[in-house]
Amino acid sequence: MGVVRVRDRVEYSLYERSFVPEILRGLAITLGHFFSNAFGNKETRNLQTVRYPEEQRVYPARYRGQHRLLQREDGSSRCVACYMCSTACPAYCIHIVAAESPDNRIEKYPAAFEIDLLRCIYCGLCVEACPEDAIRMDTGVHTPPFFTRDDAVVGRIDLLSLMGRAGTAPAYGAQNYREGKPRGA
Amino acid sequence: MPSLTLDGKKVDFQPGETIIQAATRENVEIPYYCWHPRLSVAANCRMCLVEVEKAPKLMPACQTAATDGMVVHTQNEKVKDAQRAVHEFLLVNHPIDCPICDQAGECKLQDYYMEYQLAPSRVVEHKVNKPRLEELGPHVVYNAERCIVCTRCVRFMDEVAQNPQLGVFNRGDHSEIGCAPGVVLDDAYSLNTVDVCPVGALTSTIFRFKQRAWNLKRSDSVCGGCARGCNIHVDQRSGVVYRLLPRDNDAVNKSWLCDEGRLTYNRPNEGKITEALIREGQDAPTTTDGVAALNKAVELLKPLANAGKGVAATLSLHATVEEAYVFGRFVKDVLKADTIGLVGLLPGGQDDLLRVADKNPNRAGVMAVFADMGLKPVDERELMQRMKSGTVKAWLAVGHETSFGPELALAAKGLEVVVHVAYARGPIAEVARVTLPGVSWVQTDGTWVNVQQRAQRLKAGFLPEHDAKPTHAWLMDIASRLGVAYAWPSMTTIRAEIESQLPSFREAKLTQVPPTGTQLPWAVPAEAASKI
Repeated sequence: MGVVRVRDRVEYSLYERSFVPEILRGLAITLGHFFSNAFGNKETRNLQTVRYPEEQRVYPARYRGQHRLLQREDGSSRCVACYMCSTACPAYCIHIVAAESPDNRIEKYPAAFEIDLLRCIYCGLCVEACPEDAIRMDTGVHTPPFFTRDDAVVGRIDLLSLMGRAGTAPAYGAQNYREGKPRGA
Repeated sequence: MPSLTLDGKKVDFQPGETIIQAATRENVEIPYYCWHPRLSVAANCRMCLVEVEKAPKLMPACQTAATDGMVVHTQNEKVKDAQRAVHEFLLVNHPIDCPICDQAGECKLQDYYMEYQLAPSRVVEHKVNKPRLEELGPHVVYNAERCIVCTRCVRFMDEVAQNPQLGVFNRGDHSEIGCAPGVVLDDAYSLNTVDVCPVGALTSTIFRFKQRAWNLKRSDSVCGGCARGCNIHVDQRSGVVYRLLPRDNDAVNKSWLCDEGRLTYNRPNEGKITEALIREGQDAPTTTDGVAALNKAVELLKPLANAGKGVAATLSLHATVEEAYVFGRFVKDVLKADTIGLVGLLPGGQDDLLRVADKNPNRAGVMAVFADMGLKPVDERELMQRMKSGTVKAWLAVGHETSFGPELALAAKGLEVVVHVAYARGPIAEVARVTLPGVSWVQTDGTWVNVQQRAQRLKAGFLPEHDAKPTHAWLMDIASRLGVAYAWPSMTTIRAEIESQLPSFREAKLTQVPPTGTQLPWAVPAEAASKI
């Protein structure tokens, strides 16, 4: 058997029942925020949003922006068209066509390397999968806006032309896992 | 029957068998690289070492003859130690360039590493450098660094192809496979060396870098390159066929497939049409909606259907038995054509191994169906004659596989009605008023009868795209719109009807053809003999 507990009704005073002062108090808080954010300086205001595009947030060092392909010293793509990125990609957005490399020390190269940015979910698995450190997402660039779906497919030349953000490691740095090991010869 | 004890289990064997043969039959896995069930024993990879009691050291299972009362251990610590050590030796000079190696995903070095070694490399010395891009022949490229010199390819060329173009050159860790000066690996069976290669040393120029092995979807089919009908696997991705590989069938091709057959991999891709074509006046054909094209075809065929004069209907010799039967019923019940034609490819190269001169994979099957249905087909020359003389005014062309495509198209220019069903845009499609998109043999279910009179099953590897449909489906659609409704809801019902209606197929059991085919009780022609 449950116990029914009977409570007395709360009696509101006339001041409370009219609601008008409480509404005015709420409006005052909202307006206070509005004016302090509109005219206050960036440090003192308590607003979480930024005034994009005049102000831009500083992204964390590991922010995954648009992809880029890295170059060898001679300017050719470091990609060896192994399909590891497209295999790892959960969104199936990387399309590669491999071809015999004109340089006979290198077995194959990507005749086409396309990323469909509309399909991409920016998970970074392609970067992890790459055995050659040929693809990175360290550009710090947002996905640009597109007018057609075809524009969203970026090719090898576009990807090669993008640069890493200042402060990210260069392609031939200490983190090159082949460093110190002879390659082939 | 003599028996041996394999890991504590009594195993019977035939006298003369080796340990690995007995173990394979018992599903006991013994790893091996150089052994191949259809090649001689080399015992040079040492991967199959097993412990035989009372033998002073480990024995290669591929070479050691099984003897009565032998006690063999394949799983104990001594054997596992040997497998680890042997595998480490095999990888000493292997470049481990799996990401750019075409074999990755189907490589025995990868599989056995995971299964039997799984230890980091201890090699600190430089690996031996060898040529990485050596073109042995028109179809085969050799990477000496990846090679483990198991000599399977050498033995294949010596023993099966009977054309010893390959050999092992140099000694020790400088050994490599190659051709003697002036010799090129240009045998008609050279691409089998790529198949028998357990690693990525031999790669085929037709598949090299095209796709990664794990992206391909595999289906079982039959090669359409000639009337031998070798059993194959079709590897495709997103509707594009990338390669054909042999599928074991002791009665036909063993484990082999000729280069010519493999090169037909591109037939289902080349000029493929998946949308209907329609042609008005003298314009080039334009693509159109499938239903609109079907309506147009019906509209064109309707006046002819009952006239019965001046109508030709031809079928390609690449059609399946089921398609031939549906075609036969269609021309008898619906179209009432007075000229029945069979078109096909001209005879080509042959040898005493697999290739036969007849390049049409189902001549025997189509001929048997036509004979049983009382259809008397004419060939392309007679057909062209009748088109030019005006005896034929309308033409229903089913299938485009003919060596006389351009000539037929030229002769058919003057015809009032040409309706075509094909999976590729050939010369006939250019003159046809309507071309309905069919499907190629890798996308259709059906039966082919090879030169040995063996009925073999084709399995659809992937679904037809867009408006494409198998030939029999189009013919049934046209028939139903012309007032003849066939009650064949599935392929099985067509097969059952063929079995009950056609005397030649009464014993064939078309409804239950096993994966390796059934031998039909027909007379086998002399050209079916093979030395393979």
